[in-house]
Amino acid sequence: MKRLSLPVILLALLSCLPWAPAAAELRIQITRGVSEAVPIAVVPFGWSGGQALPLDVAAVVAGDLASSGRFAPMDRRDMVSMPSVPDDLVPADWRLLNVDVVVIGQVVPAGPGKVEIRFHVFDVYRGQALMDYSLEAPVNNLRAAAHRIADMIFERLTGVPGVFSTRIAYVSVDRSGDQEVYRLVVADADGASPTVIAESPEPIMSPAWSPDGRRMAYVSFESGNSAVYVQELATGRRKPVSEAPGINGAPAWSPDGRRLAMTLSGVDGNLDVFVVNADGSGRQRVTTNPAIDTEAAWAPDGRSLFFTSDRAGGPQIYQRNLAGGPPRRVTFEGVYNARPRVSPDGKTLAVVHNDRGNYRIAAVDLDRGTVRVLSDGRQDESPSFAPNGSLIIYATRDRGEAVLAAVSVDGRVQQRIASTEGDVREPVWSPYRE
Amino acid sequence: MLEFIREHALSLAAAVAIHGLLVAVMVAGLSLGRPPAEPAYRPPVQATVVDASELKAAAERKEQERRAEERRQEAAAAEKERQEELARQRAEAEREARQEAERQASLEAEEKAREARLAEERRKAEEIRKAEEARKAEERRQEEARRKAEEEARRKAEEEARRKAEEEARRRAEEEARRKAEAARQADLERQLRAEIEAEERLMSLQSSAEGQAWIGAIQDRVERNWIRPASATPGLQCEVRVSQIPGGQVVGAEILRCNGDETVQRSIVAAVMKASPLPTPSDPALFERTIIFIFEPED
Repeated sequence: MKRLSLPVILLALLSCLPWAPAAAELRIQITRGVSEAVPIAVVPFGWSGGQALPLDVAAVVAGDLASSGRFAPMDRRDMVSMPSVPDDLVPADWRLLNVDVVVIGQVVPAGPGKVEIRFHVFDVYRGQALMDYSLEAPVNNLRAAAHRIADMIFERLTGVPGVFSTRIAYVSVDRSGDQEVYRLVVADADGASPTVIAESPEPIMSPAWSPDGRRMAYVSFESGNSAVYVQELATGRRKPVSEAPGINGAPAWSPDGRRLAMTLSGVDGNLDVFVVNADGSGRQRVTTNPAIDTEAAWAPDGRSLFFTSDRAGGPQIYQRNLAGGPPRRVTFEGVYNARPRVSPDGKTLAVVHNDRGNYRIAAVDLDRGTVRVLSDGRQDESPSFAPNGSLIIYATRDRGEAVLAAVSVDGRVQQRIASTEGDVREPVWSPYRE
Repeated sequence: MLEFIREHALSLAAAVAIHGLLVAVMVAGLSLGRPPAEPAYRPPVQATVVDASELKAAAERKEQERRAEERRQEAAAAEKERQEELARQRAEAEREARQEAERQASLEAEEKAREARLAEERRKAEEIRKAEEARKAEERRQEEARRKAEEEARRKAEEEARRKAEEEARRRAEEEARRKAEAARQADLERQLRAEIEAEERLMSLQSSAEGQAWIGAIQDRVERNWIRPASATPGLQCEVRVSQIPGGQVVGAEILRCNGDETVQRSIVAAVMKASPLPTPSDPALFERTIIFIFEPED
């Protein structure tokens, strides 16, 4: 056999290395980045009609993107040009302004009471179009169209569906008059267009969206005792589904929308988790422990329930398989973990966690059991996942008032939800609109 | 026989015509040789004898009658003799004609036999000629085939020889080309390896020198400060981007080489290196590197 020369052997070795470069090049590792919002320019959309439009679409889009915390829309006063068609856009201009992405658009009349909105999204540094899209909208509902546009842009830029077209529900308490007035309110995700769907001088609590977004279950004390009601949003028609003596509380819809888990005090006055059909029939007991078991939340597969129990002393989260078997404790970090909500992918729980004396929103990684504190208030409560799983809305206190806030699931972006005035609590994010 | 008739139709017709003519001539001859017609018969005279004269006349008449009878008998005998002579002549003529016909027939048969014999001889001669011709043709054919086969074999042999020669030439040329290419490749690889080793050494000295380390640290810091890390850039991400710069540090190109991140991550990486432009320059211009590969590997 021929003897191999040294270079040949070296070459053979080099070619075996998977990361061997074609030629030696300087390699620099980047292990960190910054948690800043991506600079974006949403240029005011052109309008070719006569009368001014009732809504500044680009402003709503920019507002939505800003509210996500992921994007920092540029001030319009800093824009050196305001193109509305792709041919007029010069990427170099925007590079000088340190903008990563530019959104331009044009609104044109499209028949009586209708307009067509054409918009384009550009990647400034790669110099390429990311989106060219057009949609029709009624002039009197441009806001919904603007939210849809923001959703599409958000999804294109982050890979995650936007939630700007979704809604939130919350309970507000009005103490301005002689007596308190409790209101159950449904609003756009940005807090705009609030609509009262139920009102009572007695407390209203624990609103819960049905999976199809058409019904709401909630607790009302209007009859003097607590009862769980299910109300159709479109018609306002409602009916009680649980009016048992004692406590009827914390309703939670099963993922298929056919059942409700809830907390009942039952005959012995001890709080336990039950499951009933959506019309109130077929009650089944899920927990039997003499401790308090409450605040049930369904796993996305509908096969198990997470709930809060103080059976070990302080409140912790447990999981109970509905097919049987003993409950399994899932939180171990900290002395207080309560009110679980499950992320859409079923991998994370949002809980209220006692963090050195402060009640804060935390994310529990269900695979690893780790707890990560996300909010920084003192009395944060009622976490609820956005349907895209990227944000958690919750109630917090600001200068003595209960207000709504949202935090990204990685904790990097926090924001107040604007337009919610008064004492507001128990926010819940709707599913995606069908 | 029919065949014979067909073949000698003309000669037969001529023979028949000649015989016919001969018979006609003979018959005509017979007719010409016939004696003249018999004298006309005169009836006896009717007369009455009356006296001596008459008697004498009667005796004379009787004499005359007797002589007339004599003449008449003589004439009858002559006639009979003539008739007999005629019959005899006729029989002779018939006999002769018969003999002639027999002779003719015999001649004719003889002629026919001769002709048949001749025809047979001709046929045989023709057969022999034909057989000879066929034999010669066969010989020629065989000769031709042999010639052709020899020709073909020769041609094939030549073709094969040429093909083999060409094949061999081509194989040699290929072998030569391969050997040369291999040598060139080997030389190339060695050159490349030497260049790589040199570059590697250069990089190692760059990375180990204080100046080089400071420069690399400054670039790293600048890119990290410009990287807006998306939510999807989680630990486990590994993206390489090759950045080309010009001596002032201006970034003139960014190309993602390999990346297990989504499009948002890749966009953020390109934006980061572009926004980091101009990159810090080394204090010693000799340290400058035209291309840098950044490896984005975020930690938690």
